[in-house]
Amino acid sequence: MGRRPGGELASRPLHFFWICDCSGSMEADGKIQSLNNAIKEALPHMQHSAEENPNAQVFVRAARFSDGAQWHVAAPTPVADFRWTDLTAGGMTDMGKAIRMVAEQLRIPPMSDRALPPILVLVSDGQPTDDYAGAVRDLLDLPWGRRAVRIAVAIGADADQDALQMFVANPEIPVLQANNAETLVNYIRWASTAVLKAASAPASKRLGDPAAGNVPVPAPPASATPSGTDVW
Amino acid sequence: MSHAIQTDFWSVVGHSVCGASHRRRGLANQDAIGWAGSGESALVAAVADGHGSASCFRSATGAALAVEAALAVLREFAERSLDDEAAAGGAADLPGLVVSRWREMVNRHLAESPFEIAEGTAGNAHDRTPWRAYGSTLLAVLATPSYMIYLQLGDGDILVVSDSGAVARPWPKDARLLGVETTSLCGPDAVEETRVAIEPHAGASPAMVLLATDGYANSFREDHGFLRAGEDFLEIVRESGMEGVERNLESWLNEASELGSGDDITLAILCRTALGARNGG
Repeated sequence: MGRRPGGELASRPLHFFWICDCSGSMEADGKIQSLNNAIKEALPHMQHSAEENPNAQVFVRAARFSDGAQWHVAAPTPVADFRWTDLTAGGMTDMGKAIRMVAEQLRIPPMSDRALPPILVLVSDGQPTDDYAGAVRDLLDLPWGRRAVRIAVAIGADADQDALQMFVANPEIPVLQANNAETLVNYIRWASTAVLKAASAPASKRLGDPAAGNVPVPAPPASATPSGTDVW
Repeated sequence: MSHAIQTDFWSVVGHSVCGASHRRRGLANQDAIGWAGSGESALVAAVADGHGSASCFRSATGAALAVEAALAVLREFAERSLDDEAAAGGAADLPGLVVSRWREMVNRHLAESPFEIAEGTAGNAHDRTPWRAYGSTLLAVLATPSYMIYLQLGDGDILVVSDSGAVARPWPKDARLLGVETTSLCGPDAVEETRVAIEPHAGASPAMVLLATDGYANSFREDHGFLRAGEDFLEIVRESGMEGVERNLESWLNEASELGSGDDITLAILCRTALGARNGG
């Protein structure tokens, strides 16, 4: 075979963002530790899912919000190298600031126009204390923000379902309600495996197709535990 | 399909490979490719990329019909537009002619092969808009001794390579086509979304034109690496003729899909016959 025409070949990047609530209420009833455990438990499964599709190069980042927002893992980290350091909780719920921080990373550049649709997973147990609605509007105004797969997990009964649904902005994808640690584990694992798999090899879609969503998101797992086991 | 043909003025070679990701999942190639001579001097070629989504469950057929429709319409156009002035007068009608020809073909196919439950028809949605099941992009070129016609609906790339190796697109990339979204033959605005350009040769025709489905450009880390493929193909044709391309094209496209996008990749390459014949063709 002669010399192959063209420059360097590369699989398509897929950027995955955890956006985690670290407000003071996450300290109650072990919620923050349950979230840490769920993400750590899901990570090997996520790495395995990513290995199954060598044509998508998965990069993971994590943002945290409480009083303001900060990067927990700032660099786009290849999923095989990604390690989870436990989050701690305390402070307000500046969810909007986290959304804006992530949105900055979805601009082109730094995002590439040949990327696969990014995945944003927002996890919260409370109500935003900043300009959350404006941040979501700005996110959805961005080409990659609008085309991202946006998943929201509500922890406990006090989570703001409306705010989270505004972020998801897709009637076909419900806000996932986790009222105990086991359900949280199931949802986190689903987001980091089944959703990742769907986004890593999506079919084309007609621009303007009324079918909601850029990537067909598989059905989430049903809440595995009886309501009597709810603790949050 | 990689068998080259040539007219007095233009030659063409091409190939379509099933994507590495599609092979892993047991999916068929949903791209299509075709070309044909028109008279002794003109050539038409087309590639198409069926959407492959659940709602476009006949998109492989839609892509094949897209290629067939484009070849038919452009050949008819070439026969009645012998020079660039005549062509300029009719080029604007091509989107409407191609889209309506495709719809006729889809309707005929549908009449012969009605939707079956096993295909996963989504309720009555496809009864109202049956074309949706056949959704596809389309890229086509008509190459004559005096002018070129380029036509594109949806993602993918047309690259025009000059004798000096400079590579250009006939129009800027459509910024709306990001991620998995594309304009489509199955859309209600397919005619309006189809881009068409006529380029009289005015002294120098392109040395080469490439038509590629989006799986090819998406396999390169950078756009300039993709554009370099145009320059490299020109050099290969100059060194070893179209046979040099034909011998290796399937392997190159498979390698691009495996190390790159994983998508189906389809590439048609037209070049001036004299260019390929210079050293080996």
